[in-house]
Amino acid sequence: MRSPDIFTLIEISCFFLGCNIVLMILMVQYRKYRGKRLSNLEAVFADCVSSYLYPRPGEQITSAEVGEALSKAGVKKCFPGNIDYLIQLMIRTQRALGGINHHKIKKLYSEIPPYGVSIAKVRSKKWSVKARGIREIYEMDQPQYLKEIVPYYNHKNIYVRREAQIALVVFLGWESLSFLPMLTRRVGLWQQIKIVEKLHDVDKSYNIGYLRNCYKSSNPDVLQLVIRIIKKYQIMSETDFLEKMLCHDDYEVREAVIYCLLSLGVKNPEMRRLLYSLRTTIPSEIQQTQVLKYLYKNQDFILNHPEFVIGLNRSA
Amino acid sequence: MGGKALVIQENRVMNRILERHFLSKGYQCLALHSLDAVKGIIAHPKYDLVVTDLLFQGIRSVDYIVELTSLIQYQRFVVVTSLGQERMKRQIMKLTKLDGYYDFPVDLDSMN
Repeated sequence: MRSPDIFTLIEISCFFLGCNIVLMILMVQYRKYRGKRLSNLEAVFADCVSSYLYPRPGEQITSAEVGEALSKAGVKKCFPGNIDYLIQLMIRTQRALGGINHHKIKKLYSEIPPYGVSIAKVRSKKWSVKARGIREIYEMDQPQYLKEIVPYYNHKNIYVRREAQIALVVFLGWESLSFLPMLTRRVGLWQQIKIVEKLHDVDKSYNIGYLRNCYKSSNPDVLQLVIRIIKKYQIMSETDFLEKMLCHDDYEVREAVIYCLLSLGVKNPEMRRLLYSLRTTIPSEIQQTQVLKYLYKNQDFILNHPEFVIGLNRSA
Repeated sequence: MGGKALVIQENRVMNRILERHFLSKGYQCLALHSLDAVKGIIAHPKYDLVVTDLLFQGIRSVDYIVELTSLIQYQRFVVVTSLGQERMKRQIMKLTKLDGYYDFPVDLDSMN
C-alpha cells in the first residue's frame, strides 16, 4: 500500500489547526457576548432593586415594572442560564441586607419573573435539580413553598433530603425538630453540624419540649444530632438522657455523648465527677481510656480523686 | 445630614443600593467599584463620609485600606463588608479611625 503523501498530511493537519483556531475565536466571542449580557442583567437588577428600596422623590417603581425591566434584560423562560444568574444575584443581595430592606426584597422576589422557577425545580424528577430548587427557596426566604418541601425530609436521595432538612430548620426553627423521630435514613456528621448551626442562627434560645420529643428515636444519627444540639446550647438539665446514651450500642453516639459531657463539664467539677464515675459503664474500653485521658487534662481533679489515688497505689 | 459621600463596593448591586441610600439621606454620593477607579479621579474633594468594602480583586484588604487612606481625605470612615471578623476589624482600626464597621447582613436604616 502506498504511504500518504507528506503534503496531504500537512494539509490535513493545517485543516484541523484552522478548525481549532476558528472554534477558539468563536468561543472567545461567545464568552465576551455572554459576559456583556450578564453584566447588563446585573446592572439592570442593581438599578431596579436600588430604586425599589430607595426611590427618588416622586419616583415609584412597582414590582411589575421591575419584572418588565428584567424581562427586557433577558430574564425569560427560554434563557434558563439568565434566570439562574438572576437567582444567584437575588440570593447574594438578600444575604447582604438586613432589617426592613430584607423584608422588602423578600416581598419583591415573590412578585418578579423568576417566581415559580425554584418551585418548578423542586417538582423536577432529577434529584440534582430538585435539591437546587429547595436550596434556592430557603436561601431566598420564600416560606410559602414549605408545604411542598416537607415530604422530602426523608427522601431516598441524600442531597435532596439534606436540603429539605435545612429548609425546614430555616423556616420552622425548633418546631422543625418534630421531623426527627420519623427520620429513618442516615444523617451524616456534616449535615448534623449544619443543622445545629442553622438552628442556632435561627433561634439562640432553646425549646426543650421539641428536643425531648426526639429522645425516643431509634436512629443513632438522630440521637447524635440531639446530643450535638444539647452541646451547642449548653443545656445542663439533660444529663439523665446523656447518662443513658453513654451506654448506647452505637460507638459514635457514645463518642458524641463523651464530647458533650466534657463540653458541659469544662467548668463544672460535678459533671467531671459524674463522667469519672460513669466511665466504667461505657461498653468500649477505648472510650473508657479516652474519657480518662480527657479528664487527666484537669489534673487537679484526677489527682485528688480517691479512686485514682488508690489505683496509683495498687499499680505501684 | 448631607455633604459629600464616597461609596466603594465591588459588588455592583450593593454599590447601587448604598449609593441610593446615601442619596436619600441628602448626601452628594459618588459610587465607585475599585481602587483603580478612585485613582482615576484626579482631584478628590474632602469627603464627609467614606463607605467602603474590604474585599477587592487583586489586593489584600489591609493594603487596600493603606492605599485608599493615602489617596483621599475624609472626616468619617465606615466599612460595610462581608468580612466580619473581629481580627480584621482590629487590623483596620490600627490603620485608620473607624466610625463604623458593619458586616453582612447590614441594616442600612440602623446605621448612624
